[in-house]
Amino acid sequence: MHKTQGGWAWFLHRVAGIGLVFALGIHFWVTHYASPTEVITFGSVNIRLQSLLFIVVDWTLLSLGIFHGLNGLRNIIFDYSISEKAKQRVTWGLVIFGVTFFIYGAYGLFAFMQIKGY
Amino acid sequence: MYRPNNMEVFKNTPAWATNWRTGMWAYVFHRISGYALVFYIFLHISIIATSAIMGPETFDAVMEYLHSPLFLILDILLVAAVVYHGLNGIRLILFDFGIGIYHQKQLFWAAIILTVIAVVAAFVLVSPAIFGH
Repeated sequence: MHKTQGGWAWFLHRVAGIGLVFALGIHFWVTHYASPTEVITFGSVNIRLQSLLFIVVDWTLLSLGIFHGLNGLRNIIFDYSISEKAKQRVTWGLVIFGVTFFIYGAYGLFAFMQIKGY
Repeated sequence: MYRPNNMEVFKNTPAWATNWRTGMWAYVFHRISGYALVFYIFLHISIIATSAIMGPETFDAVMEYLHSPLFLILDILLVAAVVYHGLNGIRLILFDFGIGIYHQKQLFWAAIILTVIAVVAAFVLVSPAIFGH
């Protein structure tokens, strides 16, 4: 249907989607539903991010979430017949937006992770 | 020669589904939940990262604020969007492998039923926090 959409974007969209199903399952359960009356604190996130499981889950969510979300947006935009040049601009715009947000989100995660004994 | 106008070019394409049957609704809900989730994830990253960078006091105050009944109920809407989008995404991946295409309607309804179950479960689990205020 869309030659320019790319086999890799198509493939990675699905791989990221599967990864997000698992990572979001853990994320939702632990942060919201395992103990819903408890309010999340900086300290509780700090402790959680000392276990390898949640380091993997949180970095997975940040990277796959940004990729899957923006690539999905790209798929929607490409459903409308825009020129090849416009498609390239859209792609680069989304890449820059995504990388910027990844760096910002990484700063956020590091903020939780740097003070070990908070 | 007949030339379709701009609107007609898009009809019954991924840009504009028009057949009003089960598959169209599966697609429409996937797209609406996709829009909602992509908007939400960047809002989420912005709020969590900014408050974390500003320090533990700010983060704790923001978390306290977001633990109000309004936001707990909005979280359940988020569950609805995520669970439907994830289950319908699995449905679409199965189709890519050639599995279940002839049962696409049943798979759509399975996704809807499981989404409703997840929403009810989320509401039951979180209700002590919603009504405890």
